[in-house]
Formats: sequence, C-alpha cells, structure tokens
Amino acid sequence: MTKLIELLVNGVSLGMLYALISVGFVVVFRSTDVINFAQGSTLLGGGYVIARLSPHTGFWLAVLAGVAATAAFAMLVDRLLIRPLRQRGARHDVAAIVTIGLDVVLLTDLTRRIGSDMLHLGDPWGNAVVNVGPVTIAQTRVAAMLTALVLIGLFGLAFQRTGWGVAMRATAEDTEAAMLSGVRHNRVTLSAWAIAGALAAVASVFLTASPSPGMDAATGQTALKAFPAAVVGGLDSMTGALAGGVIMGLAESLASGYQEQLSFLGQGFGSVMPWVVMLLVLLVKPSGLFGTKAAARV
Amino acid sequence: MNRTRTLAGLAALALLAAGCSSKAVKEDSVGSDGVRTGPGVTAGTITLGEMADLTGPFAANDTKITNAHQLYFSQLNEKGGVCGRKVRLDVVDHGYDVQKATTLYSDLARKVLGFSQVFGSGVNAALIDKYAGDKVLVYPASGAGPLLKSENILGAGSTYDYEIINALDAWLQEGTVKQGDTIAHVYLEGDYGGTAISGSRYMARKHGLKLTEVKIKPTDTDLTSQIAGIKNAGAKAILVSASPKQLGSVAVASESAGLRVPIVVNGAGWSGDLLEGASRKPVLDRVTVAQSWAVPSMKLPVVENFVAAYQKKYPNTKLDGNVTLGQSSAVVYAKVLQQACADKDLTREGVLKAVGQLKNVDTEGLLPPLDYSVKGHAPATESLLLRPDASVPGGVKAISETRHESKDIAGYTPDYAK
Repeated sequence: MTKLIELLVNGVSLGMLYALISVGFVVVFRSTDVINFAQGSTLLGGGYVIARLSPHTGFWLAVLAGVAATAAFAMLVDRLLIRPLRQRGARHDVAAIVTIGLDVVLLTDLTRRIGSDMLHLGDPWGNAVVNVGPVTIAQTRVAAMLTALVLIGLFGLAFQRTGWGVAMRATAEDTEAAMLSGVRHNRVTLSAWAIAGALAAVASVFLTASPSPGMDAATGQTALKAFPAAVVGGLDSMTGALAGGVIMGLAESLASGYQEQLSFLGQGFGSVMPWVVMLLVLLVKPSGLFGTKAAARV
Repeated sequence: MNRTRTLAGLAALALLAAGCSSKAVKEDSVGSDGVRTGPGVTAGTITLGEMADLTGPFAANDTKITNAHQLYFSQLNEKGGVCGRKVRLDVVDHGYDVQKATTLYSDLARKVLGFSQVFGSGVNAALIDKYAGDKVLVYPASGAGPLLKSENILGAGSTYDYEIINALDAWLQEGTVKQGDTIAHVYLEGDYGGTAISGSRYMARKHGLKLTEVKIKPTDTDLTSQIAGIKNAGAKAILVSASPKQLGSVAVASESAGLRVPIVVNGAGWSGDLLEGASRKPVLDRVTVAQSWAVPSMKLPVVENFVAAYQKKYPNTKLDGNVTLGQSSAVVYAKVLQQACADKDLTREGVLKAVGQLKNVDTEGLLPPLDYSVKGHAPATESLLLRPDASVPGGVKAISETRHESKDIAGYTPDYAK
C-alpha cells in the first residue's frame, strides 16, 4: 500500500512537471497553431544558464536570469523565424519543421558546451525529504508540485480574467476576426512564446534536481516526454495540459514501479507506457481529452 | 554521333575506374627487412585508424581516450616504435553519428593496417560486417560481450558481466548479501546492460539469490518509481549497469526512499561528477565501482609516469579513468603489433593471427594478465573494486590494488556466448 501511495505521489509530481512543459506547447499552439519542437532544447538552455550562474549569483537570482534568458530567446525565435513565415503565408507545419531544425542546432551547441559534465543548478532542497506517515517524498517533488500548481493556476486566471487572456483566447478562436477587432496578433504571439520559454526554464530546475543527480546533455530529451501529455490533453487546452501531464506522470510511475508484475509486457515498459496511453486516448478521442473538436463542413 | 558519345562515355568510365584503382587497398608485399607488410604499412611507418567521438555526446570521455592513445604511441615512437617503424594515428571524428562513421570508415579503411579505436556501440554494430570483409583488427572501447564473437574485435580487459560477478562475490564473502536475499539489477537495454545482466543472473542461480531485474532506457533519468519497486521487493543491494547520471538517480532516489543499501556500478557507469550536488553523500557512503583497468589514483609506476606525462601535454583536462583506459588499450594494441612483427607478418591477416597467440600478456598492472587464446571469450576476468574518494583524481580509489576474481567464474558461460 505504501508503495502504491509513493508511486501515486511520484506520478502526480512528475506529471505536474510534464504539465509545466506542455503548457508551453499549448500557449504557443493556441496563438500561432505551431507545435514548438524546440521546447526541449530551450529547457536545456535555461538549465545551462542557471547552472553556470548559480555558483556566482546564488540559486534564486540564477533562476530569474535563466527564466529571463529563455523567455527572451523564445521571443526572438518568434520575431525572427516564426513571424516572417507567418506573414508570408507559410503553412503552420512548415514553421513546426523550422522549430525541429532550431532544436537540432541548439542541442548540438549545448551538447558541445556541456560535454560529459553533469551540471548542478544549486537548488536549496538537496536530498531533503518530507515524511507523511510511512510515505517519503523528496522535498524537490513537493516544491515542483506547488510551483506547477501556482504557475498553471495563475495562467488559468490570467486567461479568464485579463485583457491579455481575452486577446489570447480570441486569437485562438479566430485569428482574423480577433485582428479585425483590434487584437494585436504579433504582440499576443510574442507573449505566448515568452511564457513557453519561461516555463521551460522553471521546468529545467525540477527536472535536474533530486532525485536526478544533475543536468547533462540528455536532459532536453526527457522534456520531450511532455509531448504525449500535451497531445492527450488536447493541444489547445490549458486544463488538458494539466490533466494530460498528470495522466502521463502516473502512467510512467506506475508502469515503472510495477515493472515486475508487468514483465509479461517486456522489461522497461515504464517509458513506453505514456505513448501507449496516448494512442489509446487518441483512438477514442482524436482531438485529445479537452481539445477543441475540428469542425468539418460537408 | 551517338556512337561517338557512347565511346566518350566508356572512355570516361575507364578513366574513372583507373582513378579508383589507384586508391584501392595496397597489396601485401615483403619489405627489405623480411617482414610481410599490408595496407597502412611502409618501410618507416605503421598507420592505424581512430574513429572517435570528439564532438558528440561522449566527446569529453573519448577525447581523453584518443589523447591517451596519441600520447602512448608518441612515447612508443621515441623508444623506436614497432618493428623499426613509427606508429602514426589517423584520427577522424564521427561525432557519434553512425551515418557519418560509415562514410568515414570506407575512406580510412583503405589507408590503415587496423583500427586502434572505433568508439560507440552503435557505430561498431553498423560496421562489424565490414571489419570482417576488410580483415581489420578493431579496438571498440567497450566491454560488451557479444562484440567478442567477431575475430576482428580486440577486447582490452574484462567484459561487464565479470565485473558484476566479482563485485557480487565480494559482497557474498563479506556477508553484505547472503543466500535467500533479494538483490536488484538496474541495467540499460542493449549490449552493455545485456552483458552485465548475464553475470548477475548466473550468480543469483548459483547462490540462491532472488534477482529483481529493472531494465531502463538511456532517456530514463528519474528512477524514483523503479526504486519504489526495488524497495518493495526488499532488495538488500543494488547493481547498476547504466550511465553515470542513472547511477546518480539510483543513489539519490534510494537515499530519499530510505533504502540505504550498498550499490555496485560498472566502471562504464562511473563519473567523478557524481561527487558534487545531491548525489555526493549517497555515492560516497554506498557506491562501489567494479572495472578491470587501472585508475589514475593507483600507485603503479606505469600509471604514475603516464598520468604525469598526460598532465604535462594536456594541462587543462580533468584526469579520470578514461585516460588510463586509453593508455591500457593502446598498450594492448601495441602488444599485438609487436607479436605480428615477431611473426614477420604486418599484414591484416598477420595482425589477426597475432592476437590469438597472445597468452599471459603483462601490462604492468594496467590490466589483469590477458589471454587471447580462447576465441570469443573476454581476455581477462579479474576486477578492481574501487570506492569513491573526492580527494583523488578521477574520484575513485582502489580498495585493494590486487584484483579480485570470483571462484565461480570457472563455471560461468555467458548468456551471449550460448
């Protein structure tokens, strides 16, 4: 029973991290219809900035700088790569493929910089744990859950209650109509990219903190596990990103923890499980759990 | 008109073919010293190929191995080289890209006697059939067992399974684990983990241990859930055959879960970087590293002299076990060339034949005594057991500088050799 609870807690906290990253996918997709495949390398870049700065500035300042750096970088990507494509009427999938190219370039450079080093972001939690009855949870995991909840909650509120949120939703609904009503589309997309970048840096902190021993060049790949989370939730839904993240975290955690009982499926099924869940969900709901159904006129 | 064109075309093709043939592999011949020579060998030099990862994901490790090779052969050349010839390394960088490696290989294979390094399990898997066709001897920088089935592969030291067997044997002797206990083995899919798990399965059968197998992928770096499973199974110890980052995750997650049991890791899964950050305490407290080759912290003259020369030549690199791994493998390749020279046969066939004649090869303690007379088997089965120590270069120190060898090895046939 303890094991089950531990696995559930771990799954939910892991899922929250995936949710943070997939919210990044969702905001960009809602405002520009582009799937941003460079999110993994942006995350790695954010972690890299934090790791390099934190011995000099301390952890919290380094995180701020990392968040600012990735947000600025993501805005540049939108301004220099995605917006020109959009304005010349390029298809959205072309822009998505541009982000794959960008991901490869960034990843190559960061891999060269990081080498085989393991970078430490200098988080204050270390190995500390919280004991709730018989269940032990790493403090980093609690911090990850709280941070994700607060950030996603804030975005949810901003989406519903602020002028920016209305502009964002209007853009997602019908870009042309929104522009005709005075929504400044370029500004909306720029802010969406900035948010995605900032969230990637925040996620890098928790992806590389305990129980992970630090950040290496492969950390960006781990971030791509958030992909099935975004797709399961429905690529254009904030609630979906949260639900998808938690479902994926739970699926991975339970399948890894009960590996022996699931051995008839083959060893190492834990990392395959999220993709199986994604396929199953998409078979039943092709636009994801909370995604907008594409209306087809006949 | 058409005929003229066809003729011109044929003439161009013939010219092209002639051009190609001039690039073809050099024929075997006999030099003035009576030594038969093959591709890559002239009266004054022996050229070996090195296909390294100098810019890809393993660049930091492999740069050290490659530098150590360069240093060792330059030292050897100062002492007269091999067979009165200088050894020259032709180094190319494949950046861990299999496609690029395949292209580079074809060109390099024409020019060299053999390969003193082809780095990367994927690269070796893709090229292994070509090695057979080209009859070259290749050092693969890996302790994966299945590779040894090929006569073209030169193992240096033991394979991963023997490291696991020896470490488990030490645990059984000191009572860390005993009959009926559960142990867990976290291993990476593929040749590395596949070789290692063969060793733990054997020891579990032999000593009545219950083995919990946990297979992971290279991208799995948060092993909290796997550790919860291992804790639930009641494991008394954990074996790790994975990457340094995954070892770190096992150490940190088990510490958080209150599962403070001993951990053994293969040398390939160790990095001194684990002695910083969250993994420092659990790694210092509970990890033992098992490997066959010497580490820079050892008090062996052959290691101390080489390490000093290495630091002088490459003052800005961090010393670790990759330096001594490079030194050890270069020594072994040179021994093969010396044997081929003694046989007066520096052709590719001659080099392959020379390997099988090497028995009881002494590397002054860099590696255990090596025996290449039994085909398809690891040339050595002994292991050093090392403990993390932040005060020494490379971050590990031998518990005893005498290598450990389990008596159970006599009855062991690896799964991959069956």
